[in-house]
Amino acid sequence: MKWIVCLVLAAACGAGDDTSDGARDRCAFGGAITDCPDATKTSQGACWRLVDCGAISLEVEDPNNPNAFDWGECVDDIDDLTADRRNLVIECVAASTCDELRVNGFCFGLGQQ
Amino acid sequence: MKRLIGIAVAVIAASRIVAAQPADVPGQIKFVETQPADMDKSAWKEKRRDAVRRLGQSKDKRAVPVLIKLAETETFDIIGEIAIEGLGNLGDQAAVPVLQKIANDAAREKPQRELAKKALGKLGASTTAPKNPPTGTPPTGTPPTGTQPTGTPPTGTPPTGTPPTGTPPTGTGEVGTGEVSTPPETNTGALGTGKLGGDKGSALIDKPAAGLPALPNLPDDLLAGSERLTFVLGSALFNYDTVRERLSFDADVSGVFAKRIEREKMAWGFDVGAHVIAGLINPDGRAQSRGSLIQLTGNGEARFYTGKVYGIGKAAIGTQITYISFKDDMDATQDDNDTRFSADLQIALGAGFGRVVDVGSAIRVRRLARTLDAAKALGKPIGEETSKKLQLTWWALRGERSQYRALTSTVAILREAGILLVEPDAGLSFEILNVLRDTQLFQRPSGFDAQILFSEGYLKRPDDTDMDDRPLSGEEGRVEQLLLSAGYGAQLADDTVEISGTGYARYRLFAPGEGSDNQQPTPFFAGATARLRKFTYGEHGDQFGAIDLLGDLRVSSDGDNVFDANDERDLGLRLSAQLGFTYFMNQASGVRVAGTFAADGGEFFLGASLSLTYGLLDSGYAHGKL
Repeated sequence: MKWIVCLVLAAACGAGDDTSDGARDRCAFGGAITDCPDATKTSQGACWRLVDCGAISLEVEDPNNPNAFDWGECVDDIDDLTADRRNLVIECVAASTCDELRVNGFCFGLGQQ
Repeated sequence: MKRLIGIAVAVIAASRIVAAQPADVPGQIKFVETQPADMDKSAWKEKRRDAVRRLGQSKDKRAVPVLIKLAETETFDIIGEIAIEGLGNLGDQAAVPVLQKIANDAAREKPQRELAKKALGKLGASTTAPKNPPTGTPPTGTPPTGTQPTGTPPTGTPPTGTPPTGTPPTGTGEVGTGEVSTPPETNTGALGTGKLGGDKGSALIDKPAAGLPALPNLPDDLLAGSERLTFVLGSALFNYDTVRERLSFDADVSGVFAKRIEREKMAWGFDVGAHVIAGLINPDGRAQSRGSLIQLTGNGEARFYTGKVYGIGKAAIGTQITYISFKDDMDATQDDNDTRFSADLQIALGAGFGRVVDVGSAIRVRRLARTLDAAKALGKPIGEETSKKLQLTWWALRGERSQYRALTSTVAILREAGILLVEPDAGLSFEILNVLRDTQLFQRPSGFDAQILFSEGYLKRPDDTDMDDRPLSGEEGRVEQLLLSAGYGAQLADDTVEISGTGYARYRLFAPGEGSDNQQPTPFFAGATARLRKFTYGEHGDQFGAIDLLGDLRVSSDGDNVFDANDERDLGLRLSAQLGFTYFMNQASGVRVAGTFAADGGEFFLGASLSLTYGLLDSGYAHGKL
């Protein structure tokens, strides 16, 4: 599902004024010297890491917003994947650097089917 | 009933020993070795000195091993000097090596050295210590008392373990094998063999003498050190079924090695890690997904202290390579192959004050002392030298799955130093083992530390840009930043309560601004975490786990985020708290149950979690004064 990758990028490119971005973690910027431990390996943990890194918003309030790929959508989409794809996506997000997660939704590419 | 009989016989026997005549050498030895149940410690110590004095005058060579042991180990009690004097009177050449060692030991008090020289004179031996003292060999002609036919056994029972007269046929229990009816082999093993490693006696004492590990070579001014090697196999799954003709595979493996050394004038540490994730999903038909992620990281730090102030240098490298290949089931134009590479090379210089070190290993020594004290087996406080020897021994044995050698080595070291008064019985051995197995004694911070750093680095990122040609990664190329951090840790209430906290702030400097060809954001982050942990133990030192309360506050800004350049609501604030209970399985493994609350951007989250981690090979050292 390439649309997931597109949604991640679209969310990152601005979801509008009805968006709550959420606070970042220390490793959101700054490179290896500000590194964080791996995220919790659950769908919720992976999506928190995406919020922490500024890759997705915490909440996009407008349900009709086509770019509304927020924390809740992220959890739902990961949970909807088949078990093997879900593992890969979660492991990838948990281990990746924030800069990688912001760039291209690479990890969600592993969930395409 | 048997127990009552046993106690009664023991009381009678103890009374007899106290009143024993000089000829009752086995009785005197037993009294020296074992405190009678009906006698308090101070009275026993007083009468014990008299017993040793009588042994020294007995002319009976069976007393030699006992006096050798006391002369070697009792360095702070007058009983040691009485034993040295007695060895001279007994006239046995087996005492020569230990007397020579004492006479030439600068750590001994002068009266002891003088007494040893006098005793050597009585034996007609020189005061020069031999180059290869015959340690581990029992004194010639002085077999352990427990195997000797005695003229006046305390209760008249032969030392073969035969049940005493009148014992019921089932008398293999406490009465028949009680300490009265059978000369205690363990005691005679500890004392009777004289030296560690004798051919008779307790396994706890004898075996480690030959098996004490080679200690790691660490600096003399070491304040603290730690080493950690952790492998994590997150998952490894392989599936194939003929129903769907679908193959899937994924693996998530990582490893980290970290080492840190704290000395008076400098400290250094590093960690290196690798993380590999690989996956393949190959359903029936054309569709296929393949991907892999390889991540390598390395961090190093060196500090140079002047008093509590220090200058600090840090370096960090990191690289991540990602690869993905996707084949669409129906449309080949949708196929995609992508390989990405990013790399970081950063250094930082700055200054700081204080230090926070892991004092877990020093706490283990303190727990050991408290355990011995509670069992009335602590002869004297565990000094710095013995503490260091114990901790380095545990360090050397960290790779062993069994705690057997750690236990036997610990007991041997404590006995040799005269700290452990008696050979531990089953109960005390169990409690010592619990201290050695305590996994709640790793990563226990103590102290205060604050630092400020200026960092310069180069970040290589994939060339992805947004519509305005700005890098999607946010930061790339040269990145300068200001880093502030602080940490605090304290161990309270006999080391069962820990309070710790950290603070961290980061701000990017000199970012290419508006109008630049490569405009980049100026993000900042500030956060603080506070944690309270309460460690719980059972009656005999069994560790149950830890209850912990954690609070976290963070404030951040993306600093004109490249993704959201016009969003003025850039400031983020999150408050979270967690209450959890962790049950420890081994040194680096545990199960954790936790409840979490978080508030962020006007949203609230409540959650509960259960997690399991597994690791190996923890060790550490911390100076006793920390």
